[in-house]
Amino acid sequence: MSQLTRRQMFTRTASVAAGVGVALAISSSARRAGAAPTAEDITTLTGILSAEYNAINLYGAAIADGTGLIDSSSADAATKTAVKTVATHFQTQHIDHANALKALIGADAPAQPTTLSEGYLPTSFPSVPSIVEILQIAADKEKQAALAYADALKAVSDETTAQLLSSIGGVETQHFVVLYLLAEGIIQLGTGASGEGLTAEEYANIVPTSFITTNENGGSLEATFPNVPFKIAGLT
Amino acid sequence: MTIKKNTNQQEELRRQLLTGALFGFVGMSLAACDDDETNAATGAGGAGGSTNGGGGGPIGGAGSPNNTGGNGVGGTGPIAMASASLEALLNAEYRAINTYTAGAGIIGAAPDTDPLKPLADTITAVALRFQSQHKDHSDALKVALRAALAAEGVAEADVEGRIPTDATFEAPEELAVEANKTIENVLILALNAEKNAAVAYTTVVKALMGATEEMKGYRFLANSIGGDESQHFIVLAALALSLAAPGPNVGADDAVGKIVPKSFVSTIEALSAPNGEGLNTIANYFN
Repeated sequence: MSQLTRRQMFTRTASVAAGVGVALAISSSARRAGAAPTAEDITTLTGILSAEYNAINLYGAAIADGTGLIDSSSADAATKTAVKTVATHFQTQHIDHANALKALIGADAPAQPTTLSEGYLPTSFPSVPSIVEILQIAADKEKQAALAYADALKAVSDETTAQLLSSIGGVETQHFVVLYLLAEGIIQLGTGASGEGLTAEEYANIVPTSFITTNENGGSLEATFPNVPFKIAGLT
Repeated sequence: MTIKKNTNQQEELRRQLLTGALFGFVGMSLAACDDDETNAATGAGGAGGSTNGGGGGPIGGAGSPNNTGGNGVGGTGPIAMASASLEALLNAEYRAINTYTAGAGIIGAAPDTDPLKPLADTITAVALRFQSQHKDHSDALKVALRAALAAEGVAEADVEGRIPTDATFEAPEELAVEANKTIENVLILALNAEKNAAVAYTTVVKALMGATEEMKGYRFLANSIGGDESQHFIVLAALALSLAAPGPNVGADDAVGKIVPKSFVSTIEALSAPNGEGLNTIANYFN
């Protein structure tokens, strides 16, 4: 099987799973009050939406049970489970991003493709990657996403559009730094408050929200992540 | 220039900007549950309107009572709003810099019984790295603020006097108690501040109104810094909440330099390398 064909197989599988979570019909009420992207802004948003679709499909290719990149690696079962949990969480956040972008674009928003765009994965990426290589390609893509969002701000004219791009881009930077530090071996997943491993909630808190500022398509740091209280001596 | 009619959201944003309510992000983390009090301490009142600023008036310019410069920026037009935003962000960066100095002091003085004492050197190194990145942010904001003030019509001779040079860190009352001066609480202090900073920068993006290249540039800068604060937050939260632990390469010579590897998301041309570098200067693993 050629490398590309193998990837296409992964992404078809993944896109089915991803599609379950995607709300295809976005009501007009989802558009933010006052939002008025220009035609040029819409072009920028559409390009970024395509990149989000690719990210969703890449994570789908990674996490697909049995045939996915993670399960195909030689890592131990615990590592596979941990990395799949993180990847699934990040994929969900990319779905939130795609939905927010679609809501702003409106009826002209393209539908999610069933495969990665050809050329999205570099030719140097192995057909059967290690866990570290999976983390590395994901870090590459998240870094590129963060840059794409940042650079898009030089182009867009509408402030609400700009804020959405910034609100999503800030989360892509979080994805990047987590994946980069894991790939570099600077950090490893912790053991959580219990000391016995991360709970589902703790996994979700690795990057806790899909947006930085409030958005109706998902939680935000602004709205749903209160300040962490100090640990006061003598109090449990 | 395209100036849109304000929505209710924009009016609220304007109010927050003018009162400095967005920019207590270090202070918010300090008080934790008394944001109003912190916010009231900022936005001390500005110098009045400007010719470009529309109605003018006593808008705060988000000056903190502790900052040693910056008299506030007058006016309520988009350019004056940009100046006020940039000045407020600059003050917040100064407070962040001073917060990390104070935090490093607490970490250094932590007793051997502190559960995180074995990681004290690493955490201090990370804190000082983040502090250096905040210094890069402040340098970039100063460049932008100079440009905004000039665009606002401030006389060249008066511009430097309008740029803040410092802002004082005031420790939260919780950390005044000796028993609470733990490394974990320093991490909590910092992660809350960085989270609020990330939110503030993204909020400011919307407040920088207009379709001019200058406004686009300010929005780009705010995002490029905010994305860095966002990374700071995630790293600190992962440590404080035990979501992550030191990995096998944490002791490597270049490890600290990789923890939030750049000061900006995308390179800021106004600053020289390496201080102005963005993530675009990091090579991909795969090409």
